[in-house]
Amino acid sequence: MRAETGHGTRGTGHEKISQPAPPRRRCHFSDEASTLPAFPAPRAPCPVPRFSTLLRSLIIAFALAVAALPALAIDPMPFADRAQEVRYQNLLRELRCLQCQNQTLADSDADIARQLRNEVFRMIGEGKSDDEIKDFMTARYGEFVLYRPKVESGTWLLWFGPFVILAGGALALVLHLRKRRTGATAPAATAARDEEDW
Amino acid sequence: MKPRALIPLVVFVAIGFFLYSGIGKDPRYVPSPLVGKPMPEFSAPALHDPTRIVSKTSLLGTPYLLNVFGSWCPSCRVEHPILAEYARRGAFKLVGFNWKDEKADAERWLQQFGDPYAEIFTDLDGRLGIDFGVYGAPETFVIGADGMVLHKHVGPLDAQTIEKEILPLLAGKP
Repeated sequence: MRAETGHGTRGTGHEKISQPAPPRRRCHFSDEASTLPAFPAPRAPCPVPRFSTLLRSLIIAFALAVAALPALAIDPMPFADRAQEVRYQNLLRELRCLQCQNQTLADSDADIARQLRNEVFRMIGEGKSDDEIKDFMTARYGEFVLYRPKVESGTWLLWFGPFVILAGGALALVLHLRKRRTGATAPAATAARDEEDW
Repeated sequence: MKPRALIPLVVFVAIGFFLYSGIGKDPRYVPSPLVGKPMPEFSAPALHDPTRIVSKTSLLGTPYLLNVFGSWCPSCRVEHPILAEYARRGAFKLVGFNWKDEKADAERWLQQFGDPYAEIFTDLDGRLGIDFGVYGAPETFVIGADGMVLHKHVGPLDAQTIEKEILPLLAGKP
């Protein structure tokens, strides 16, 4: 999210109160160095950590990472069943967070995205269909909230433009190949024409 | 030179025009689907007296600017003196939509920067903001006397935008 947008969501302006930095340590595994007089005594070499210490650190880091995996799933919601949860997740991936534009509601940490996630959850609970939920969003925020825009005159270029370009390229290729084949049977004619060109 | 040799040039010019037309457009500008439609029905507590209810019907009769603001919003401070000056001159009626804000914070903010609003209603949890398609502050709607949404501006308003986009809309509506 850009800081200078001039159009903010609540919660973006808060900053953590910074703690005073701890005294810098040169050695990661021992405080011994800092207890030594810094000057004029020669700097104490960092003790090499033992292999078992390293291994233990790695195991702890791995265990913590695995334990944190469920936190990646946003806002655990009390769904009635698994089907509802799947619909919820799919809808969030198709709806745009307008505050951060290139993120879906599922990706975004903006306050407005959290709130719209709650709305989606509420409507699923009320038994609304996916289309009804999308209509709710487009009625308020416009077509732009849909990551998969509807096929209509305004979006034809978006939907079919790439295929038109592809077809154009294929046509050019076919024409070129055909010409080359006929050119191979009559090389003299091609050469003459090439000279004409320039 | 055969016409075929012109194809790359034509393609280049076409792509150039297409890309050039995108320059200068604000990618963050999202047209509101509410423009040209009646504003959503609502009733919300007034800021200064939460027992009093402000509603769509209570605001009918005169066109006004509905300004979404919050005491927590830095850009609202930027546009505030400009809006206040226009409201003071009577250029338009200004209604405040105090979005996701605490009463005490909002009142302190208004005390500090001045209160140009003819009316302010609150939306503490932001639920009403969703019905208005609000996704940040400040945002400003131009509402006709009949409750139609005439225009929506996202981001802080400046004098130039007010003169060019807002005032002509209000001039046409008695």
